[in-house]
Amino acid sequence: MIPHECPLTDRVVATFHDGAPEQEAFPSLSEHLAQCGTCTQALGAARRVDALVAGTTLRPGREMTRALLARALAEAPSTLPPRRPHVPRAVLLASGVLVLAMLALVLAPHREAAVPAGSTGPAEVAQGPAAVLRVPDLPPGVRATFAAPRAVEPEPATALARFVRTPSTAMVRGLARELGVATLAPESRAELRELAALLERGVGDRSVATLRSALHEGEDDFELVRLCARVPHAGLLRALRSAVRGDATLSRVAARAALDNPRAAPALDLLFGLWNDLQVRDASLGRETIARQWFAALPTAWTPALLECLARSVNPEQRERCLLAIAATETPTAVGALRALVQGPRHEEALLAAFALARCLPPQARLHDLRPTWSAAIRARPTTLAEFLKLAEVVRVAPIETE
Amino acid sequence: MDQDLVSTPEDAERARTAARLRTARAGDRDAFSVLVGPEVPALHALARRLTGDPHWADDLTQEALLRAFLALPKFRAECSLSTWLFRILVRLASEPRRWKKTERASSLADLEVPARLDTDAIVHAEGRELEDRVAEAMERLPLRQRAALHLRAAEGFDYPAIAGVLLCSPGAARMLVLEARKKLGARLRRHLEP
Repeated sequence: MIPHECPLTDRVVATFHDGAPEQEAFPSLSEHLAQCGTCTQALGAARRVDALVAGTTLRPGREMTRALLARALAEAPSTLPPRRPHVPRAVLLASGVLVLAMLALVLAPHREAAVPAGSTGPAEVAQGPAAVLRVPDLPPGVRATFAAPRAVEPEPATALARFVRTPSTAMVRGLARELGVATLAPESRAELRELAALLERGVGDRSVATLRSALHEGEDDFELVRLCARVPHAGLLRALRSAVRGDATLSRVAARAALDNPRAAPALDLLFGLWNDLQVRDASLGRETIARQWFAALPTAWTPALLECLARSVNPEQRERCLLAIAATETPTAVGALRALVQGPRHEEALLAAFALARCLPPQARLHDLRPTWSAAIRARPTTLAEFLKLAEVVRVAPIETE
Repeated sequence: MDQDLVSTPEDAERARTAARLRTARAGDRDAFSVLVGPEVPALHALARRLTGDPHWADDLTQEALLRAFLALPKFRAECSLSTWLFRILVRLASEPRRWKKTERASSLADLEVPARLDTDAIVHAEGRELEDRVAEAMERLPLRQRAALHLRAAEGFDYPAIAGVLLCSPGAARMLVLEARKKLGARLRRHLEP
């Protein structure tokens, strides 16, 4: 944590790093900076934070810039709306003041006839067109209750803080003893992966209980979420999903961690659960988009697990996600299973399977046993489901309206 | 020669910009592209920071550019064109329903399949680790703090310029930047060791 005990730190950072004009205070701040370790440290930290943000900023290239402009202008109408006459702000302000003054003149005589002062009874309404509602005074006890400052609840001492930041607590020692390692404070993704591998080998009830309680207490902790997402323990993964359910960022962190573990068994139940949560939470997050983001860069080792999930699941939504994920992986080994599904009785699923087939099928494969329109669509290797449906001449029938 | 007729290169550039602005206001797309083109990379970078997603960043930037084109006749040059564009983008970012086009099925055809950057997912993930961490930490900041810090750190805006974009006072802009920095510093302290 950057120490901020010095009251001048913010001014020092604003003046010496952000160039805020504090010319008159500059000499005294310079003297202060020369002597204050806290401010020096905060200034260095501010420079490093800015360098980190600037260094990780991604900018589009020239081609993409041109494309963005072209696409934006393509949506613009051919003629611009006519320009409205510009009314100066001063005129608007003056007219507003005039209207208010006139209102005040109209209402002024009636304000005198308001409720008598000192009333403590129920709400009273004064007579006349400009009646004023007066709320009686609150009893002293009630007012005192409202006036009393709220007790500031201390930040919960999270298990995460004990777990990651101070590797000397009993919990960390217990976990470390169980795993046979000296310390548990992952500093990077590689270390985290090593730790997860250790947990995978040595995961026991105590470790799971520790991680579960840390998940329960340790709100908003990326490291803990990443670690838990990599431990192949069904109960822990369920707890993880429930811990991150309401938080889109943490859900994405968990999904990324689960996907960033290609050598371990795929945590498909967790991923499909997170997929569902994200989709439910954000209606504009397309299911195909998630499939591409999550599964497109994965090695082919995950395909058998996806096929197995497809074979055992009876949940239509889960089967749909499996098919979209397989489409994103573009693995030829899935072709056999997909062919069978394309000829299956469920039309919607057959269409999705045909789209997945289009993405997974090698170029020279035969397709004579499929419907001609679908074969042509598959051959075209469409990049999106929408494109495939268009090519396959699938017409979405609107629901019949009944009176 | 008359002294008044001799103009500096800055004056000439200003006159050219004003002429382009007039033409763009009349609906000339080329003039608009020349005027706005240099700002697009910075707009897209901010859009990416605010949305956390490259596809949505595309949507947001395009929508901001479209709205800027349509509203250009109303632009009174009380601030710089760049500030005005950033202001439109930040305002739009806080109302995702007005620009998010990546819906369930309708516009998926517009998306392109991302190229496979690396066959080894581990190598790829490690290479992007710092980028991911910064993106995640930025995602946790409130939108205005995120925008303020990005404009200060990545675009080099000063407090009055940030205030112009966020429609607040320079003092409020300063508080947004400092607060965002503190939170980010606390989250990324492992990457900030000198």
